[in-house]
Amino acid sequence: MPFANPVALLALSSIIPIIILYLIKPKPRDIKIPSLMFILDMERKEHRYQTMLKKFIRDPLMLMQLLFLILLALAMASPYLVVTETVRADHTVIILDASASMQATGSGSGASGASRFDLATNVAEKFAGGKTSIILAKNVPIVALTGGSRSDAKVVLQRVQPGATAADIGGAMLLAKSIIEDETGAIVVISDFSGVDVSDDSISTSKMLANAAGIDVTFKQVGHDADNIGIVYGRLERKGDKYDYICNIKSYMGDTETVPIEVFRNSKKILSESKTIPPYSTDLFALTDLTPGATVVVLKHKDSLAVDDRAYIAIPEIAERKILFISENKNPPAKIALSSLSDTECSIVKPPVLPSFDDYDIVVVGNITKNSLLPGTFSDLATFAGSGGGLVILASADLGEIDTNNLLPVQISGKAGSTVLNTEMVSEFIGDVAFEDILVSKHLRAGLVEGSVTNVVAGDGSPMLSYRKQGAGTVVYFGFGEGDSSWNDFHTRVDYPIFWRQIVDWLSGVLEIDAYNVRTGRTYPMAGRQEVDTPSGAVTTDNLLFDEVGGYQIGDMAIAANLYDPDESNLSMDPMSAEARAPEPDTVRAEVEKELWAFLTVLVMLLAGLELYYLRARGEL
Amino acid sequence: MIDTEFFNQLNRFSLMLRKRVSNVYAGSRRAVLQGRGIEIVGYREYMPGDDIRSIDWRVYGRTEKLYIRKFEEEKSVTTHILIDSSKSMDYSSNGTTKFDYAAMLACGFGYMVTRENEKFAISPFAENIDINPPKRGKGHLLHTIDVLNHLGLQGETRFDHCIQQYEKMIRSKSLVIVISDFLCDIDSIRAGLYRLAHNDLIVISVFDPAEYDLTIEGDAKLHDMETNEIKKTYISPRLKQEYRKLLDDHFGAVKETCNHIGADFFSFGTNTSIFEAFFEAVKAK
Repeated sequence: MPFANPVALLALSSIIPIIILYLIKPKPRDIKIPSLMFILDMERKEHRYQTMLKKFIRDPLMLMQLLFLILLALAMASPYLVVTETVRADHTVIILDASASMQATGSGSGASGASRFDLATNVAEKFAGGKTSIILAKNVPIVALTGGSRSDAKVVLQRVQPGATAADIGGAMLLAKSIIEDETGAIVVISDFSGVDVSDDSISTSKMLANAAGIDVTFKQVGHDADNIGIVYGRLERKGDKYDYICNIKSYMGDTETVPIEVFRNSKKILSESKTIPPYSTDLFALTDLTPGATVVVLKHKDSLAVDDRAYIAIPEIAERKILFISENKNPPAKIALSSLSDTECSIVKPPVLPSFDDYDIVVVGNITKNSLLPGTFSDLATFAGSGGGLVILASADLGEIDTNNLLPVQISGKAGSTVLNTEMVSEFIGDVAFEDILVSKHLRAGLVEGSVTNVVAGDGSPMLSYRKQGAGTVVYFGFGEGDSSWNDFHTRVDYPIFWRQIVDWLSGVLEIDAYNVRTGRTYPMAGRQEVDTPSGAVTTDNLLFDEVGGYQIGDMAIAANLYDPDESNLSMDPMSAEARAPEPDTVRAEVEKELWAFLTVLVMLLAGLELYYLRARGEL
Repeated sequence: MIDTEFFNQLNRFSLMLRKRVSNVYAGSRRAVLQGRGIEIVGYREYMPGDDIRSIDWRVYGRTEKLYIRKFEEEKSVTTHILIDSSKSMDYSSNGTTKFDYAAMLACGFGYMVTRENEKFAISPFAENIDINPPKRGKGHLLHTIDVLNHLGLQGETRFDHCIQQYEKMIRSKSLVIVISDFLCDIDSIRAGLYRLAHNDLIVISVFDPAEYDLTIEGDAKLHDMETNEIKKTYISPRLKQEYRKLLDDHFGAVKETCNHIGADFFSFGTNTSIFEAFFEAVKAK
């Protein structure tokens, strides 16, 4: 028998004095009293078993004292037994895979047509008992129940629904481990494990961590292989004022299938066609010249998973942006680029007389001299920016000498010659512009102002593209000027108008098209709690999770969420072991260390009581 | 050794034995009552219901009439004294063993019976009984004293077995005196006493004072005097208390049996003087 504190066994030596004491005690007296012997014999006949016991135990008091000391020493040594027994967890955490593939239904009707998620909740009910927690494994694990009873668990299991995201099972297991904390716990993962390998890093690491904390992890697989054809990828590309949409339709079926496709534009069917897709192949489907509004591509093919049969496309309505360009030059390249943009109206004005800035969304200050602007103009510009307007100040030779009322996000200190550029921080308005390729012959030497962000920097550390917040608006410093070849060649490059479109969109609050067309699983942090229309109804939240496929409406902004996940669309499964496929809880037998000190302590106390009782029975107490 | 000095003290006592004959009480003097006996006192004509064995066939031969013999009623009584001679009687804590004390009591009764010129027998018993026939006379008493003085004590007490053996030799209702320490099975004692119930019965229990008042305590090695068995035990105050109770229960059961059958029960410690013991016994008679 192993001991946790074997040193305490030294206390066993305390029995030696007891034994010596009993060895040296006086010999019993020889007594011949017939009546005493007669009565004892008579009593012996009446209490035969007691007498037999007495025959074995000549001196019960010594035996009790020895036992007392031995048990006390053993209790101090903290013995334990390693036994194999059925383990029942005090706290069971059920992880339900709530990914899109769990929405897959069976091929039959009735029970055989139940979805994988329904099967999973049925299995989960069998594991619910005692203290139960439930976690929905989406791309972000969601706790549906913490430390509830069996009936609580049943209520929750009837209410939960699968999402249209991927599942982070490993993350859910780590969350489960943190919920269990120091309790004797068990984690049950119920999933189709479709396209998931339980030995992959995330899951196996989480399992090892849970096992190391003494938590048993059980995997239960539900569902069967299923046929599916779905849209597994989609992308929008801007073509001038319009967008082109391209998507991949993938077949996971063993036969060539003809897939009817219908396209709806603002709920009105605009196109019907079909694609013939060979087994396990992908075909492209494209739409061109999509204008702002909601477009839905629908695969009219019956399969096991509906969530990937629709692709939602959201193209925002963009109101015309009015831009005021202030410059001493008549038609600089920057103005030309701005004028070429769709949804914009750019007017150039020569200082010093300027129109009211309130009529414009964006003001661009181009090439100006010390005397170009009237005093107070920059104060007006500061008010304009502070009230939410976008202000872009372009570098010009005299800019360092002009009092900009501290509007500039940089501190100009002079002029400098040629330099190389580095992109220091990528922002939405930088996009794919290759600033490193721009040849710079002349630039303004500048330093950074507190609170400003620099995106592109010159070789001497001068910011070339910086911005900072000014009240509700933004002030951008553009160190490339309005397009002078003696300064740089940016205005001659193809990405020059792209840059201007991007920065105008950014300043006017128009996001990239991808921001309106997201994949499920993304979260959208909002400034405060706000009501959002989701495909399944309105919710009020400050951090929206796109866990359903369809259209979302956040204020004026319409967002389309799509699955676009070939792993989730792939409903084929690698069957796991028979144990993992069995819908019943496994009987887990494990080696458990049984501490015996408490048991021994109780025995010691009982023995002490027995000794007192014995002495009292003998009439010596 | 049996001390016979006390015999003189017994002269003042007379054992007023109730001599029971057939079915009525008889005194110590001769009676004219007729009944069963040896000496013929006359004849009378046979009446239906008379014992056929009493018919004198010689008279019938002469007279051709049925006459029955009439006998003088037996007036004497025999005293049977049974004394326990098992090894447990050999115990003494004060010089006088239980057997010595019992023998003195037996001889004292014998002396008193001899004075009445009646027959007596003292028969020692242990596992078996040594049956001595009842006799009269001082010679018989002296012989008995000598026998008892030289008697070797041994064995256990088989009370019922011994009484069963002795019962056969009690011809008519007699005075039976049983002297023992009664350290044997109570069922055996009951059975034995019931066998003697139709006699005039005196039961005397003899004990040593050390048997009643245990002064020892602690670990003890007990020796059984009758079986030589050795037993180790711890004599605790509780055990002494229990022992005393069981002892009282045992002798209480003996006394209860005696009361039930109409026998006189006496219990004497060996520290009680013989005179006092006789005084108590005779007073009760």
